[in-house]
Amino acid sequence: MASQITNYQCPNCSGPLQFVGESGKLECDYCKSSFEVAVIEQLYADKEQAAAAAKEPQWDFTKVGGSWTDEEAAHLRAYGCPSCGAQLVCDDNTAATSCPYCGNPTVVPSQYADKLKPNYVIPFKLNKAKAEEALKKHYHKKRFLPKGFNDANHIGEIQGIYVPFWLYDGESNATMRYSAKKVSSHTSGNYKITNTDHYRVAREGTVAFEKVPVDGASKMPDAHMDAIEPYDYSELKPFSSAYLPGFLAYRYDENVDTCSKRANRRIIESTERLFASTTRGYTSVTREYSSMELLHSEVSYALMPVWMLYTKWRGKDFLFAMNGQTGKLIGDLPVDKGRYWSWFARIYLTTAALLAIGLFILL
Amino acid sequence: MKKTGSVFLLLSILLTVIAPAAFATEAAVDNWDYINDWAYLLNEAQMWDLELRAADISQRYQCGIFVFTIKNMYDLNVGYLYDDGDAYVFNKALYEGFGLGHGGDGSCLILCLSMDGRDYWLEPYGYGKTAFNSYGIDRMLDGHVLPRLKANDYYGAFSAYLNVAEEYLRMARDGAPFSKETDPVAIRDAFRARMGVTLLLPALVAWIVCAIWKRQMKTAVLAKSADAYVPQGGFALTSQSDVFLYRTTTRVKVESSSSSSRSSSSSSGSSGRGGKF
Repeated sequence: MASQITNYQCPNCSGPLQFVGESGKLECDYCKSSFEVAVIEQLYADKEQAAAAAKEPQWDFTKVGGSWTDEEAAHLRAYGCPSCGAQLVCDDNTAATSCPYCGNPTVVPSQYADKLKPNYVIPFKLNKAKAEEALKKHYHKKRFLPKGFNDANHIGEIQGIYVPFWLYDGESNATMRYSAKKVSSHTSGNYKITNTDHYRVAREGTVAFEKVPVDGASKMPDAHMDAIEPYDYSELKPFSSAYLPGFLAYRYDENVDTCSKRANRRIIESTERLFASTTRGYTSVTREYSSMELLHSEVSYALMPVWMLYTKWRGKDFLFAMNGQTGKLIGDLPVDKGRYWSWFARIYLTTAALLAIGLFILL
Repeated sequence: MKKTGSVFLLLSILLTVIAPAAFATEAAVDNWDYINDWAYLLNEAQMWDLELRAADISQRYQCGIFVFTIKNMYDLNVGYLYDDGDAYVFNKALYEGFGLGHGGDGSCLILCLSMDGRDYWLEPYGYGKTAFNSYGIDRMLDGHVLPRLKANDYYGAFSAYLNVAEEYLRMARDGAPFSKETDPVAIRDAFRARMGVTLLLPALVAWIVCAIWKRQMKTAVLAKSADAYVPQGGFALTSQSDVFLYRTTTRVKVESSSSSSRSSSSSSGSSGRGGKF
C-alpha cells in the first residue's frame, strides 16, 4: 500500500496550510501568512527531491490490524499524519482528507500514482459557510416542505470534495431526414377546402461539443452531479495537489469508456434537438431517418469542487450537492401531503371565489 | 314585385275558393277558426279541443293564435308560381289579405304547414312581435313544436304550440317578454355553465400551480442534453434541402342553416322562421 502523504506546512511557523478559494492562495491558520500555490509547489518539489536523495524509509502499514477481510483490505488505505503521527485510514479512492486528530489537511499524491493524474482542477471558490447558507436558501419558499424540517433537520455532515470528472471534447456528424407538412385551408362557396403540402426535408451537418462533463466516481450520485452543472471552464487550472488541502478528493473508479455512454446520450439528444430546430415553418415535422457518427477528439480528466451536505430527518437521509465554484445547490426535499392539499384547497377556493365574483356578480 | 303580385293572385283565389265567408269584413278574425286543418291532420275531437283552447288564449290576451295546414299550393291553383316556400307565402297572404289578428295592430301568431313539401312558417304580427321575438320563436320551434312535427305528432305539436304561446303572452303581459334573459331554461343552462367553470377551472389552476411547486422539490435530476457545451458557432449545416413532394386537397361541404331553415326579420327585431320538418 502506498504511504507517501503530504500536508503543506507554513514555511514560517510550520502550521498547516489550507487552500482558500476566495483568495486563491494557501493560507496559514496560525501566523496568517499566505502563499501563492506556485511558491509552495516549488518549495515542496525541492523537499521531495531532497527526501528522495536521503532515501528515507517508508512506513508499511499493510500488516497493522488483521481483522479486515481481504476484500475490505483491498479497498482500504492507511497513512501516517506527518503533523501528529496519527494513523489515517481511508478508502483507495480518497486522495485528500483531513487528520481526525490534529485536523491538518493531508494530500495523498500516491493515490494518483497507479491511475491517471488529473489534467485540470477547478479550485473551490465557496467555503463551508456559503454551503450552509445556500442550503437554508434552498429551503426558502418551498411551500410543501414539512413543518419543522428546517429546524429539526440538522446538517449531519458537510464535506468539500474534489470530484473526478471526465471531460469529453467531440463532434457529431449527423444526417437527418424528416417528412413535413404545411396545412392551409380556406372557404370557397359552400365548401371548406384544406390543402396539405408534403415535403421531404433533409439536413446534414456537424455539432461540436466542448468538455461535456461526466463524473467518474461511483460513490457520487449521477443525478446530483449532473444537476449542479455547469462549471465555468475559464477557471480550469492545470492540476496541482496544492489546491487539495482542506478538502476530500476522490480519484476516478469509473473509467473513461464506461462514462462515455452518458456523454454520448447527451450529445445525441442535443444534436437531434439542434437539427430539429432548423425545420421550423411547417405545421408538423416527423423524423424518419437519423444517422449520427460521434467523434471523440479528446478526453481530459479534471477535479471539480463539490460541497456535499448530508442531513437526516425522521430517520430518512437527505443529500444535497452544491457546485463549489458557482454555488448552485440541488437536492430533493420531502413533500408534506397535508401541506400539498392545504395549498391546493387555498388556490382552488381563491380562484373559485374570484371566478364566482366575475361570473355571477359582475356579469 | 313578382312576389307581391303572386301574393295578390293567391289572395284572390283564397277569397273565392276557400274562405268566402271571411271576405270583406272588419272583424275578420271573428269569421275565422283559429285551428284551420285543411290538410286533415287532426280528428274532429282534437281539432275542437285545440280550437277551444286557441280561442280562449286569443281572447284573453287579444292576440290571435292561428294554425293553418294545407297539402300544397297546387290545391289553391297557384302552385305554379312558386318553387318552394309555400308555407311562407301562405302565411303572408293570410295576414296581409285577411287582416287576421286582434286589435288595431292585428296582433297574432300564425303557424302554417304545407304538407307535401313538409314546409312550415311561423310569424308573429302586431303586438305578437313583442311577445314572440326571434329567440322565443326559436325556443318554441326547436324545443316544442318541430320535434313533434317530425314525429308526425300533429296534435301534440299544436297543443305544445298553444301552451308555449300562452306562456309567452302571459310573460309579455306581465312586462317581461320571453327572452334569453327571462327564459328559465337559458337561465338554468347559464347557471350550470358558470357553476361548471367556477368549479372546474380553479381545480385546473390549483393542479398546475401545485405541480410547479412540487417540481421545485425535486432538483436532483439527470441531464438529458449537452446544449450548454456547444460552443458559439459549433453547429454548422453542411447541406440542407426542403423538397416539395405533392399536395392533397380535401373539400368538406359546410352545412349552412339556410338549407334547412330560413328566417325573416323586421325592424322591430321580431322575426318569423320557417323551413322543413
